[in-house]
Amino acid sequence: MSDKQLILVVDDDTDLVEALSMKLESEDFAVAKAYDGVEGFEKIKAKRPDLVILDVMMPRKDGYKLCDELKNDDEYKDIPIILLTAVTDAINSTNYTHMGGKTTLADDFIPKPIDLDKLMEIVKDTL
Amino acid sequence: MDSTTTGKILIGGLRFSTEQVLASLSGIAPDCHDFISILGELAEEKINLPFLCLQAVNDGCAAVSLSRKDFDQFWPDSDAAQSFGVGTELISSTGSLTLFPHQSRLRTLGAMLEIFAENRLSLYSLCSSLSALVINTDFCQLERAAQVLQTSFQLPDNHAPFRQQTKHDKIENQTSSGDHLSVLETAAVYWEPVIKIYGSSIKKDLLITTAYIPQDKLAWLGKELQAVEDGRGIFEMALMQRVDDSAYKLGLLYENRRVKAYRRLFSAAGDLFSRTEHREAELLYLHGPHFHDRYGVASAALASLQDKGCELFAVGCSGTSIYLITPEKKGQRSAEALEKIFIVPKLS
Repeated sequence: MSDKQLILVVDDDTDLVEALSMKLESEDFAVAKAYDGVEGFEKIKAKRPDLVILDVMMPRKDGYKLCDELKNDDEYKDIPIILLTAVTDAINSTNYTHMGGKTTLADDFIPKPIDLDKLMEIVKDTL
Repeated sequence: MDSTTTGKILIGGLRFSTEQVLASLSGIAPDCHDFISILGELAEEKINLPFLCLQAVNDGCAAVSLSRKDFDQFWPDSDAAQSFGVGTELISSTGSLTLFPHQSRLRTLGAMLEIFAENRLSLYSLCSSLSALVINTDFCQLERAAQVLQTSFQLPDNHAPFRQQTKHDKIENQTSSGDHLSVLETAAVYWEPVIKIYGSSIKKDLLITTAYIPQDKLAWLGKELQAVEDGRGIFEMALMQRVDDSAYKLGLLYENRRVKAYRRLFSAAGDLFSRTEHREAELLYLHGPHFHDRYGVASAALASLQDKGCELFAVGCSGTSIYLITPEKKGQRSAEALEKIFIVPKLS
């Protein structure tokens, strides 16, 4: 069994999941991947990650809802969540804004497009 | 672990696109001038391109997808093929099947090709991204393709649905039925003059091999790819396009240090492949400009490179990112040419 800390990346953007995974693995973390909120919750139950990086705009269950469920569940509320929030200021009609993300119970937030180095800093600070 | 006890390859999922129209272009000049003009016209009309695959060398060809809805709106009556220029074949009802993650394994690419060939599924074009393999096939064959792929690929339990409903679907469904559907917003639709990306990277010391392959040898190619380096072969990028009724043009990008393994593959092909060419190359990778969500990204990139006189061997835009294959030692120059239109935002 690996003693590396396990980070779960949940995002429907498969290229971003892969890029984040490569970055996290290069920083000596173990990585699990999920591609929507439902699958993300399954992986959290099965693997109990040390931290979750969570997108908001996803099919089946969005990041807000998953974050809310985890933070209101005694079993999982202590797992830190970093939310990947609003995509850009240029979107003028979306339910998912950076400000909206800040109203959730996530432990930290980072707006997309992500600065990968900054995200690594946040991951390390949060753990 | 990458395979189950039954020998199936574990993957994260499969996805279907909505219905698309695929424009398959051939006879593209090495400078791609006319092709870039076409992309500019599509961007001016705010038409998004969910898929673009350009092989600019060894007789240029490209495959470009548009949503069926955009296509019908833009060319309600006129001859669309004329807009794309001479040598364009329009395939009217296609869909993209995305398999992820491929983990750069030739075994995954080869198995996918073999399954498509053996099940006589149409394969019009293929392009890889960092995570995914995207194949354009007939829209009506997507379900069957997913079914037969599962003979060799193992999906996770409770995986995401193949067909994802979009915000646009939601609006259309509400209009037709009046019911409120709880479909989640999953894609942002927007445009910015400066395109924000996560970053860029250049991979050096690569080779790209291009070759023409008879259609009836696709299964053979699939098997051979799976056997490279005893099933542990790695690729950097794969591109493929049906160029006529009997042949595909293949582009494979790989690390120079793996040249022996690839040489064995091309040697085994013997006369099956024709016009095989090898070039030293670099891969410039722009992370996440959300290519498939917004129009004008490919046009902006290629027009900027053209303005600066940057040569390209190939381009792939099949997920959220852009992959540019440049000649050796030209990746950095291309990256600099793109600095004004693609920025990496810094958090304060």
